[in-house]
Amino acid sequence: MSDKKRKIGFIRVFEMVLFTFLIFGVLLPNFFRYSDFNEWDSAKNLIVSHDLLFALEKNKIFDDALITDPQTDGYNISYAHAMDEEKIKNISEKVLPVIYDFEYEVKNVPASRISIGCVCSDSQVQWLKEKILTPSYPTYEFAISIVPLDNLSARWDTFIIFGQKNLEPYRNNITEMLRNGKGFVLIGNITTPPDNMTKELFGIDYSGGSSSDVNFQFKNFSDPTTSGLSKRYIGNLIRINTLDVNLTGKLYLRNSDYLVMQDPANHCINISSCSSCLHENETCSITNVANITLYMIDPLYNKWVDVKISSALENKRNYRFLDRAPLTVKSTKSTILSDGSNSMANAVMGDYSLAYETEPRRFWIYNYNSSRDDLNLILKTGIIWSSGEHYFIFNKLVPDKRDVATHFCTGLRDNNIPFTVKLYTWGY
Amino acid sequence: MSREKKGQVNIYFLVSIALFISLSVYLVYLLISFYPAKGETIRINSLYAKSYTISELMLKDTGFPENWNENNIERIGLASEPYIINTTKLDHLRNMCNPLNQSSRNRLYNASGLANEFLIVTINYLNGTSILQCAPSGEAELNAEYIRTRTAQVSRIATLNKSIVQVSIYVG
Repeated sequence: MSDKKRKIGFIRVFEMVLFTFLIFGVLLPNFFRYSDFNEWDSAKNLIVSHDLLFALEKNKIFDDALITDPQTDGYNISYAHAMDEEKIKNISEKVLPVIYDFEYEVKNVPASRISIGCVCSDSQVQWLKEKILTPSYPTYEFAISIVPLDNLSARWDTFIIFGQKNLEPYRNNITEMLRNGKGFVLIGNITTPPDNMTKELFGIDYSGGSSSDVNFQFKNFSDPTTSGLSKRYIGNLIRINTLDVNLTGKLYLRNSDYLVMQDPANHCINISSCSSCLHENETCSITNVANITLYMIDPLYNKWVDVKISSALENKRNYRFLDRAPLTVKSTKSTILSDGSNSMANAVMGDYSLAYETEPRRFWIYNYNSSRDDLNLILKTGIIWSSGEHYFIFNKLVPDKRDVATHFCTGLRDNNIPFTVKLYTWGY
Repeated sequence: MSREKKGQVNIYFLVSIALFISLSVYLVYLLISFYPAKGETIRINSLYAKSYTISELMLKDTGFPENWNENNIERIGLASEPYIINTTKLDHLRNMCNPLNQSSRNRLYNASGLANEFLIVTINYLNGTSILQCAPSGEAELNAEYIRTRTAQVSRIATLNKSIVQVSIYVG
């Protein structure tokens, strides 16, 4: 082949390559699907989601819908709870575009139902059911069952352990639960140096010592975790059973018991040491003991009354307990009840989980005198708190590709316990 | 033989020319259609920014002066506190929405920071009941398709008289 012919062949190939590039460049835009979609569509959805959360708070719809209670919603609580959820659903559907689905995630407000796995005996479960796990709205239902420590499951919100145990052999199982945001409650005296897992879980700084009759009160008001427990304490309910023929019962506070007698004709209760018959939401002050507020009388059978207690001092959280307690655990930043140098109860939050919503909560209290209603209330508060106070309102599956609007609220019904609500939206 | 081919056009050449011309035409068509569309997108984005700004002012700001009325308004704002609409200010806004009153319309546009655009404000309860339909330039007469395609609409949620309302701002 001559040089001339070889050059012509080369130029042809060069032309073809050039031409191919040219065609490719010109047709390139057609290979991609361009559209006039702009980010404002997504932004508008987020804007309206934020507005909606503000509107729900400003119009006190969260106050109504996140707390279903008989005082405001009537006695058919399950039905009223469904109606509360329906209210949020209806408003959201009217505000958000029809092509969007939505879900609300709530943190720091107890769920209406809490499930508990108990590492304990039947009689302890029975005691918990009767004395501790009574409604304290928004929680009106507790489901409790016995579980062994080596078979914990994420279907429970929190676990209650009775008595000091060696938890180290169960570290993996416990850690797995903590990663899922599940809580732990330990009720027991720490009489010997605890294992590392117990120390780590409940923030226990063992010192050793004997038991003594001591006055103690809430501590660490400046710490959000420990002060949160005292805020919850004064809002939770003590149930006093008034089962006998005279419709009387007893309220045990500090080292005294107070006779509580229903007056069905006047729909009020008489409490010994109180001067007048208390109607719903009325308060009686017992000097140097407590303020007692009547929340509700059993509307159907007069079998119980629900009351709230708080300190009679200016700061309602300065309630003073009195009991015989072991002085074996040093007071630390995790301490919620203390006589000054010793801890009677600890609350620990965090670690194990990366997300704020699933931060596991742990609560320890000594083996107190279980006839004391004020101390039973602190256990009840600890159990509800340890459940994580985290739930999704509609229990929908939230896809990974979604928009989120987060709203921080200062409290429900002026309880000053901050909570967050996240509104997830996603399009079809 | 080679002399006979002189003056004749090669078929490959014809195909090449045809391809070249068609590709050139297509390229020019793409450029012509591409840039105006992007220009429109830029315009709409700018309108969205204005619409959002006005919605923020209306819902979260008291306006200026704080107790403004249709005669002294300098900056629009309907809120007595963020997300709570003040009924008195709403009434003043309603008065300024009269399309026949050009001076009050101009004051409203100035207070909203608009120069060459038009503004429509609607406020409805969530059940659809209308509270306000404000179209100071009479844009309500414009057809819905025009408003949909040529304006930027931002909807907000606020509270009026303890009820949730939807505030929609159209800027075009």
